[in-house]
Amino acid sequence: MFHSEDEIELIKKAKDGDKEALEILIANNFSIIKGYVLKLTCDIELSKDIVQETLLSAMVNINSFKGKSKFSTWLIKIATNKYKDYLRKNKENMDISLLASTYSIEDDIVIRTQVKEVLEILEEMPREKRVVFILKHYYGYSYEEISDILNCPVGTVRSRLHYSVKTIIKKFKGDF
Amino acid sequence: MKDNDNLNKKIDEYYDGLLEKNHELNNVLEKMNVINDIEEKVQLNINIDETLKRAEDIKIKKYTKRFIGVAIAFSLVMLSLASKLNFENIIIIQSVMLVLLLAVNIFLRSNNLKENGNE
Repeated sequence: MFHSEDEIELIKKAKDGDKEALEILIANNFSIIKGYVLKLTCDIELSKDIVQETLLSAMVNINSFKGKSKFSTWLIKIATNKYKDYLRKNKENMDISLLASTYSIEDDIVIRTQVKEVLEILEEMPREKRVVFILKHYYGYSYEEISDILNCPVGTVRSRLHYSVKTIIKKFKGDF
Repeated sequence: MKDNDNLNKKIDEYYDGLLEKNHELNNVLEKMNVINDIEEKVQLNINIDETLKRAEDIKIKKYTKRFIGVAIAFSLVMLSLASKLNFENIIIIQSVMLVLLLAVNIFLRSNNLKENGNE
C-alpha cells in the first residue's frame, strides 16, 4: 500500500514543522484509526484512550516516520503497540454492551443482534489472532504487511488468520 | 492436515476475491462485515488541537532534557580540565564553553521552534 502524493506532501510539511499539515494528516486518518481501535478493543472508553495516545505519539515522533508505508499503516502499528502495552499492565476486560448499544437508535433489531454476535466473536478471540483478522478482513492488508505491522513471521500471520476464521466458522455453525 | 490446507486455500481465494459467491466461507465471513462502519456509529470525543498542544509540550521537555545533557557533559569536561590548569586558563576555557553552550541552546531552540511551526 503506497500513499498518495498529497499525503507525501503533507508528511513532508508536517516534518518541517507545519502544524496545519500535521492536523490535516491526523484528521484524514482519524476515521481509520478510530475504526481499527474500536474493533480491536471492542470498548469505547478504552478506544478513546488508545486513539488519543496513538495520535500523541505520532505527533511527537512524526520525524521518525520513514514513509515506507502509508501514514495510516504507521498509526495502526502505533495503536497496536499501545494496546499491547495497555494489556501488559491491565487485564483485557472488554465491555461490548456499550459498543453494541450504539447501533440501537437507528438500526433494526436484526442488525443489532448481528453486531452483538460479531463483537462477541471478536471479544472471545485471543488478541494476537483478533489483530490479524481485523487487519486482513477489514483493512485488506497483505500477509507481508501484517507481518511487518506485528513484527512476526508471515507463517505466524497465516496460522493466526486460519485460527480466527476457523473460530468464526464454528461460531456461526458453518459446515465448511 | 488436508482440511487445514484446504481452508487456507479457501481463505486466500476469499481475500483475493476468487471464492464463489455461494460458498459457505463466503457467507460466514460476509457476516463479519456488519461492523464495517463502526467508526461512523460511535463518537469518540478526542480534541486534536489539545493533543497537538500536549505533543508540543512533550517536545519542549525533550529538547530541555537534551540541552541539560549537553550542559552536564560540558561541565564534566570543565571539571577534568580544571584539575590540571591554572586560574587564567580556566577562565578563558570557561568563557569559550559558555559561548558554545549558548550556541547549542540557540540551535536546539530554533530546531524546536521549527518543529512546532512557529518559525
